[in-house]
Amino acid sequence: MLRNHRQEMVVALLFVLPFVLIYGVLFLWPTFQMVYLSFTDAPLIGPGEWIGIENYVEMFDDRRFWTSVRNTAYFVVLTVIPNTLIGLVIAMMVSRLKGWQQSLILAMFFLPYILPVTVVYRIWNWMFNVQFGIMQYPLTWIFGKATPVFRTQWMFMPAVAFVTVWWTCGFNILLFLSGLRSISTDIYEAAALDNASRWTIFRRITWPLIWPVTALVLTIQLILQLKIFDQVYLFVQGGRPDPSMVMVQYIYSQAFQKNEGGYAAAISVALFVIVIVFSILQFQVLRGRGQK
Amino acid sequence: MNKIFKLAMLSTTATALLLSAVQAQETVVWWDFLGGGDGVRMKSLIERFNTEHEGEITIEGTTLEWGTPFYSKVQTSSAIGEGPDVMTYHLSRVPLGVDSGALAEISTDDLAAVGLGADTFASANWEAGQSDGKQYAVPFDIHSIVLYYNKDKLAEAGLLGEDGKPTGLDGADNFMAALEQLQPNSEYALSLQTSGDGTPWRVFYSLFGQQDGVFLGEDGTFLPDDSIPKAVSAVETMASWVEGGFAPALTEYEGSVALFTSGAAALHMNGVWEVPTMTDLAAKGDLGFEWGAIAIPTFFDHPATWADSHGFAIPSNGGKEMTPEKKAAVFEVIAWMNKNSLAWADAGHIPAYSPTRDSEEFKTMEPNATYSVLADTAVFDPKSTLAGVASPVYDAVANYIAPAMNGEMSPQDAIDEMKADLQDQAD
Amino acid sequence: MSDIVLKEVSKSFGVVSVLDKVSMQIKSGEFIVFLGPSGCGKSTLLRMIAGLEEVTDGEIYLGGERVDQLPPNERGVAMVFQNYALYPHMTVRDNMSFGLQNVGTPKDEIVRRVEDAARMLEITQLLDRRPAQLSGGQRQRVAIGRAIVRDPKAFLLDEPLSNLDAGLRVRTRLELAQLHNRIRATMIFVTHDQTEAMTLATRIVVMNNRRIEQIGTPMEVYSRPATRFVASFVGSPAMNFIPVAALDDVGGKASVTFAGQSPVETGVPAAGLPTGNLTLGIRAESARITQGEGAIKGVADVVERLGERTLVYTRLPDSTILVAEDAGISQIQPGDAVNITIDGNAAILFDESGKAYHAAA
Repeated sequence: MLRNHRQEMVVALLFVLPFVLIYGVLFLWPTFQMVYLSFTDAPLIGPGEWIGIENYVEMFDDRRFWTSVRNTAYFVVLTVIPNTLIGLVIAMMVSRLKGWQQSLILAMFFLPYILPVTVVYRIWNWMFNVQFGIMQYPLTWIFGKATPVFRTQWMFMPAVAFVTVWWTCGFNILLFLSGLRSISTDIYEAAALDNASRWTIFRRITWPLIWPVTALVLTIQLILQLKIFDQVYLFVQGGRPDPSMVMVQYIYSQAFQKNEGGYAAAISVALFVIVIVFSILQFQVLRGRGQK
Repeated sequence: MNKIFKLAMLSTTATALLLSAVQAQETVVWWDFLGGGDGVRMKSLIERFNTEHEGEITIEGTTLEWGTPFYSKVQTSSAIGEGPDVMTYHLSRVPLGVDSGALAEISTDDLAAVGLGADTFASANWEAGQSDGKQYAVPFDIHSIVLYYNKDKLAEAGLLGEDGKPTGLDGADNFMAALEQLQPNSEYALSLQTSGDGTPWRVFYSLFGQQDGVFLGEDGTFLPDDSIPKAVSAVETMASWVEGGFAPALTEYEGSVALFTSGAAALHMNGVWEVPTMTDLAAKGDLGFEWGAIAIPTFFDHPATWADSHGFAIPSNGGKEMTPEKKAAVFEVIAWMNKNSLAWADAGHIPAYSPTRDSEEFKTMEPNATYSVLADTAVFDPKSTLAGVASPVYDAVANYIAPAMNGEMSPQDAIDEMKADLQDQAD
Repeated sequence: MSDIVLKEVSKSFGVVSVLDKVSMQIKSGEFIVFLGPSGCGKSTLLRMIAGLEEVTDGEIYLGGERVDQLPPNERGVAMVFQNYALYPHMTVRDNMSFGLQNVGTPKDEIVRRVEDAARMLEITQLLDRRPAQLSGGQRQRVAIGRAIVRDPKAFLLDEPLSNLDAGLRVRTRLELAQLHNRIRATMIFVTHDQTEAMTLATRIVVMNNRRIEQIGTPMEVYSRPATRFVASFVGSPAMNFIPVAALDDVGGKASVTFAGQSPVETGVPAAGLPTGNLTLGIRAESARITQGEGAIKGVADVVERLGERTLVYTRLPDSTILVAEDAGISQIQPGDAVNITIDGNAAILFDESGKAYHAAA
């Protein structure tokens, strides 16, 4: 029996080995290296001297680091919850359609998601262009003059958030739609017979039943948006990079522009910790709510 | 053909013959960031080189995006030994490039072997390619900013002198008066890039230099106290153009060029590298007006204009040594380009190679001749690892000076914050 | 009053008609069973009464009020779904309270009614559980409980027993009958199981192919089926259908000959029978094995011993199979020659359209 057991262990190990190896080589080792790097003064490429926690001390005093933390947080606030809610609302509207109409509308909402970020940037840069952008019609009506949205500081983050929602909500719609489809129509019929108004049905039936999907979407969004880089980087081109600098962008500028590999690694560790802490925190909170 | 030029041609041929004797076909991988009108000229130069060196050396050229993308790519690929054999490089960025280990030292003996050295370049230009007394880049040109003008509009406003050149633009007040005269007949009297880095830095540094401002003191202080008022008045002057409605607010590079070429703006401040754009448009008859270019007017105490240089550099490639044959080919490329740089002057630039610059052909070349005086009054970027194209200084310009130009920040605040920011990064 | 009247109710999805001019009257307190094979439209009809399907044509009255254009919640009916459709995220108590909360019933009233219903259904100890923690039978009770607390004008039950295992189904069937006796509410029960229909219904509505075949008490439907379909669908084993070869009038009654056997005298009046081909319908219990000389002779093919009776699948000389009945303890073995006597008064004749002709009542 003992031998048999050992044999099973060997077979089991053999099966998980490829994953463990790949996970170790492609994730654990680089992560460990990143943490190690953050205690050195390494350049972008190549080794550096061990300098202890100096990078972290510097980070706490670094104005631009804190700006990037604030901006990242602001972006998360602007995108995560709106994106989730908009996804849910559109999914609920799409789910009322049937057959090819549903497919068509769904495809239209999903289309932006398959675009690369550079294309999204091009589209919206044109849409908001001060001279030719179609968005200038409503903007001129609101502000009384043509408005360079991505060059106006207070509009920058909201505008990038708006574009991000437009770009990515197709995926959330898809997740929500599959969630909505998994709710049996019987339950809605039972609720209709139970005198539930449309609002009550949403509040007491749809919302609690879709909650696991909502929690998933929120968590995916949170992690994704904490790592925001591309859109901000692209839209800020030719503008003021600092006031809207987000964390990954700051890592990039430290590593690639200033050749400060060690310091960039320290910021990366900070971001890593923030992502882990917030996603665990959020997951716990959301799970707690779901079990109510 | 002038004597020196003939000599240069002869030596080229001689070197080529010499090289062909000892080596088989060599391929030189070349990276540049020349994407505009000057890129077209560079491509034809490369073609010419390849034709003349058929069977010996072939340049395989790749053009990458100017600025941060180019330098990030160079930095990373050089570190892992995947860089090109030779590349264009801004001399302003040599300190940063050397500091980050991206550049390989260039032996002056190797240069001397192909006929290049301190005596074939203006000394300031030559030294800009050095760090700690070692050579890391070979100059190729001097480029600066100029004032492009729409001759028709200036004539209407009575701003053309008897020689057909603009007049009465010197002095901040006179310039402002000129803008007022030009404004009624144009959408904008003056177009220039007013967002991001680039032009805002170049114009700022010119106006700052006209007051003998010191951007980086000997002791490593950015904007020493007595230079702050000078910096502020430079920014104030720039801001007054936008504030008065004479220049477009928050306009990017391409837009500022388009405003001028479409005839919407009477004046345009930009680099000499846009000369080919104007030449080509005028040649095709698409410009719709007569254009010219002069040196940036003197707003303050004396003429001074920002300048930078394109040069050639060899990436360190992670310490990988080139074969002697490859090395010879690379030096041949660098030498040939310099010796044929009259064609490059066609792209608006001022050749760095003294024999070319002193040639009769160049001296009569328009509009270069009109603004070639600026070679004498050029102020080069501060020598610092924080300065140069795609550097923290450029970023700081986008963050502080550009907003101040658009009235989003007071000039005083902009300078104070820029100083604090750069000092912070230096320490 | 909670009587239900349907007047020429039709339903079609696009060009596909699923119900064609269905009319009936259901009296208050009746236990009506819609019986029919799948696809006959019985569930659709139930859902139309509930308001979950729109009525294409016709009228529905509930307690005298026309309701076919009203939304489900304004009709005052409660429904028990085939898979119960309990709200999975709510406790049993919340499941049962939900409908009352929505109409603003006072809290203490809700508590009282839920607990009364729970007591009646013996699910009091389950009130704080969630549906996932319940067995199938318990869920079924909760679904009924959810209907009861609302004190509806009518209970609509859509195959509520089909997801239960056999033993539980029989028990629940009985409880449902008891429940109906106790609360005396109008109930409409949809099933394809004729046993459920027979045991529960005060009246059965047999449906087939978009139409009602017959409405009647279980015994009427069983012994005097209106059509050949009803005769075949109700009863087990299925009624014997044998083509009639010759028809004679013997003293006003029809006497039929089939399968080369001697004539069998039926109770069906000969007058008024159509001239075309007829089919004789006879249930197994009306075709009994006799020891003496019977009218019908054949050979036992298969013998099914059910305990209280024995079914003998008899092969007649022309290979027609006739299922006959014998006593519970029977000596017959497959291959034995058997004699069968047919109870002529229980025999039914069907014309080509399936219409039934019965002996005079």
